[in-house]
Amino acid sequence: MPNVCKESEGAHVVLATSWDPEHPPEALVDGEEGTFWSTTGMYPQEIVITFPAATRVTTLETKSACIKNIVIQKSSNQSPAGWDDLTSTELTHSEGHVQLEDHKIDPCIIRHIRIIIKSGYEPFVALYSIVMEGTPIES
Amino acid sequence: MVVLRAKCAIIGDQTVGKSAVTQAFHSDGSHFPKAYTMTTHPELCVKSVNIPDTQDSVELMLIDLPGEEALQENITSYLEDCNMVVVVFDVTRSQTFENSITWLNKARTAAGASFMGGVLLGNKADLDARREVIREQGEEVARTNDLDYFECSAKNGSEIDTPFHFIASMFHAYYKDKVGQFITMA
Ligand SMILES: Nc1nc2c(ncn2[C@@H]2O[C@H](COP(=O)(O)OP(=O)(O)OP(=O)(O)O)[C@@H](O)[C@H]2O)c(=O)[nH]1
Ligand SMILES: [Mg+2]
Repeated sequence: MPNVCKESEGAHVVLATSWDPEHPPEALVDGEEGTFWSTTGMYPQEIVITFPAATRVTTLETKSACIKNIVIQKSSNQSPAGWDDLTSTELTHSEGHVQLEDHKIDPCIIRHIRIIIKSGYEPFVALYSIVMEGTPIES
Repeated sequence: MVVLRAKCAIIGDQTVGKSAVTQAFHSDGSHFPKAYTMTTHPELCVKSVNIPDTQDSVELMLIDLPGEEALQENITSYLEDCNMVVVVFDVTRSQTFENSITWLNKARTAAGASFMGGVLLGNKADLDARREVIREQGEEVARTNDLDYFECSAKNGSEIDTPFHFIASMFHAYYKDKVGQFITMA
């Protein structure tokens, strides 16, 4: 199954609380491994990604650096509202290494996804990619 | 062209001039509270600082805390996630200088992983005749505690911007360094 959390699949960022033109929110959905969205100071931080259609998602993996507490929410509404928690995790940190996390989720229908970074092991964190395997359902 | 956001606490003993320094910086020197008003709860203000030789800026969220002993209970929550501190003492009262490191340690502990340092600031430098702490002492204590040392006078507005511009640049340098690490880690 393809990763639906990519620009090439129609996913796009609709909101982000940090914006560095060199490491913009869009880096999260550009399908490239090396690019990232960096936060630019203070917590919490959040980013919202919208899919072109309601999508049945079975897996959710994140690649990040220096994140401590992360909450991921979903909405299956037409507009990004009415959030339900998907996962709430404290990630582990090892100096100089990225965090690869497989968030065990039950298959569900998602239209929008919201990632909230509640705290970090550093003043700044990076989010490189989100891999969500799934298939759009016709509406 | 990035705008960074930093949380910075102004700490130190009562009446050393924390509010006066904060307000002088925030108002570009147009406001100096002559009459003393005790700060009874944390006061927040935001000021943007441009980083020289870049298009970048740092928005400093300044938290002016009360120095009064009896008001310390709720302060810890304001120090949480704090990135930097300005530890103020009064150069005419050595006791306030001796207490600075206690303030620093308290902030460092409460701030946690987001803490990156700060400055030790000798205020009331205009009262030179009554000085009890000399610059060399200040520099020495700052050095042993990984702080940088500055002196200022909120009253005549001298050197007020310098410590704040310094911490803004420090925050900016830290960010650039971190982002560089994120690139190599990928
Ligand atoms: N001569 C002189 N007086 C100053 C200076 N800065 C502040 N003061 C005076 O010192 C007194 C205390 O200043 P504040 O800024 O209120 O002190 P504070 O540290 O905020 O005190 P708390 O809020 O109680 O913790 C006031 O009367 C100010 O006018 C200065 O640079 N020179
Ligand atoms: Mg005050």
